[in-house]
Amino acid sequence: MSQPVLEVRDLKVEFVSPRADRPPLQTLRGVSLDIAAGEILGLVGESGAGKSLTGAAVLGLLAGGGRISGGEIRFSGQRIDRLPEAEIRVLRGSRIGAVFQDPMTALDPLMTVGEQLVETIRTHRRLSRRQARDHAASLLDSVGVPAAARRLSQYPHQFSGGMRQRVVLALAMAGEPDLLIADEPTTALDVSVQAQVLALFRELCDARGTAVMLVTHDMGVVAEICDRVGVMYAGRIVEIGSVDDVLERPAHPYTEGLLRSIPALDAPREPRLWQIPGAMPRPAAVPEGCAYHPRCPRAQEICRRGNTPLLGVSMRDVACHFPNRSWSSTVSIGRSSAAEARP
Amino acid sequence: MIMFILRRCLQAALVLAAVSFVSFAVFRYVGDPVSQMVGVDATAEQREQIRHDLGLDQPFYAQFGRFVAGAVQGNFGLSLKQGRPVGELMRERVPATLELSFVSGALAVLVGVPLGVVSAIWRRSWLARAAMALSLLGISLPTFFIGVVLILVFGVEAGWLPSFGRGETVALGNGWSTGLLTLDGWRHLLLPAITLALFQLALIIRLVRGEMLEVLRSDFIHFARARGLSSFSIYFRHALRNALVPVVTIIGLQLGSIIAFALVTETVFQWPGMGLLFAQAVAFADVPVMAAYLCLIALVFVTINLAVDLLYLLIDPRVRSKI
Repeated sequence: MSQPVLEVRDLKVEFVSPRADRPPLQTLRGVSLDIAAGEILGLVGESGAGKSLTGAAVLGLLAGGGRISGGEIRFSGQRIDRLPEAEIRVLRGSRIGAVFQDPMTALDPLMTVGEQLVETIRTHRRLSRRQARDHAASLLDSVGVPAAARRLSQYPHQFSGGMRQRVVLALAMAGEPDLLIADEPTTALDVSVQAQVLALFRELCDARGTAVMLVTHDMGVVAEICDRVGVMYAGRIVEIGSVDDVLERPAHPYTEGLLRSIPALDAPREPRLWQIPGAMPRPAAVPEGCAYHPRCPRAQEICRRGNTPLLGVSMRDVACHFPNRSWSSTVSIGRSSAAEARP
Repeated sequence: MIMFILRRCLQAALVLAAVSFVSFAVFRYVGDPVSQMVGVDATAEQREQIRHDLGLDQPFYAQFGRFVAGAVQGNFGLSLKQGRPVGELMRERVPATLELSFVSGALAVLVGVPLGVVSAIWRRSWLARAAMALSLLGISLPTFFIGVVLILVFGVEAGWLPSFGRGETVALGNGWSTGLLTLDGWRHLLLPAITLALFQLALIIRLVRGEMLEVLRSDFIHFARARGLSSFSIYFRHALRNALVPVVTIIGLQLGSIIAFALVTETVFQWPGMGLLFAQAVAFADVPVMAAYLCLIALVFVTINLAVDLLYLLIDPRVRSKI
């Protein structure tokens, strides 16, 4: 495989407390992942696991006292985790695009969609106003906004949620980025619109070879459009591999638990929905050893101490001393059944 | 759109009618003007005669009717104290008050908005700290006290600026005069304008800062950063414009209250405006002057409100599409 577009190695992020007497909060505790051109990597996990934070760190947009305290981020081979703000800003929007969760609030309400597109295009490319406007229309057209040229002069509130997310995507694609960070891009949308927007992601990614980091908590979304998936827990990736391997044949007990807690349509109704016992630890109280051991049915003495490295097991990487190896012999049952299992 | 404007105009007219009624009714009870007009040795017949001449012996509704009929033609009757038409007295005083108010308002906006923006963006800078300290003073100190201190420091101790009256004015014809065309006029205007502006300035700094901080936390600013826009564009094209939407309302309303509260400043600096006229009229129970002043202030408020509503249409496309 050629060089990945994005390489993240042992990334650590901490938040400095405004009070000097408190130690900084470790929120990412060593995240490693690669994304190749044209590939969609899903990042899943509970709220607070560090999915969005990983995306923000790559964009250099850590807010509220967050800072990268270790590891490195390489974009097309170049280290970007220590770039000064002026240089990372040039990358942002031109070579690394971003799409956020809520399209209703992501656009400036006082500016027409066209003005916002033109402004973004002209930030990254030397084009005249007229050329930029033509380009804006073709961008809107490419994300499937009908009557694009006319809608340029409309304001965000005149667009529906799905259309706004398309506009956001057009803005993110304005600089023709090599990497797109999409943070819960469909969570705020109706289910029917979700499918359309997801299909659009897949389409753009295939057509332009854009690498996508898709942060989500929806396994259905992952099964539908991702190539690979990383499962995060308490600031680390606990399992990462192809969607088929991880969703069909999970090796980490947390991934198993996560998948088991999704109610299936065709399964018999249980009196209570199954859930993983306990809750994910807060960043200030991550236990020693494997962070998942207090909730893990397979935890042994070794899990309570030391580091649990990500190791290759059955075609994927797993951070577990007792991964489920029973899959090694089973035959792939295909991707479709995972898609059916979503809520 | 036209319906919207017509509707607002109708509402404005109703407000004016209500204010004129209340002001007229209330001033019936502030005192008896007749006893102020005649000497202590006037006989009961003389008093009755004056009362009759002024129409004060007629029933309330008849007096009010006469007042309204005159007011819509700009005729507010005769001042009981000076015996001159109230309209004429007002016309002499209005330029002074408007000049003071607009210079104060401009000062508050031109200094307040930039300081508010700076203290939101560079929250820890010395300028931001200084602006916040200044605004705390402006909010908490009463206007008359600020005026007296300024007079003491710059007028009495340093002797740099005059502290009394309006100075040299230039007549513009039609009863209008301005002090803005002479150096002396500006020297006289400076202290009262600062005094009157300080509270509004403090308010605007805090308001703009608060709104800016709010907007800077919003999703679309975060997304604008992710689009790679420059800080300048994020702060001034996106954040400031959005922050100014509510600020415009407040500034508009405050401009009205500047004109109204000019009364205190005018009294402290003996500024020959409407406020001073009103203060003197109250002491004399000069009902026509008081009523005319209140109606005029109400007119100013209503006009400014209307202007703010229309300005809203201009700056916020969401409002535009709703009407």
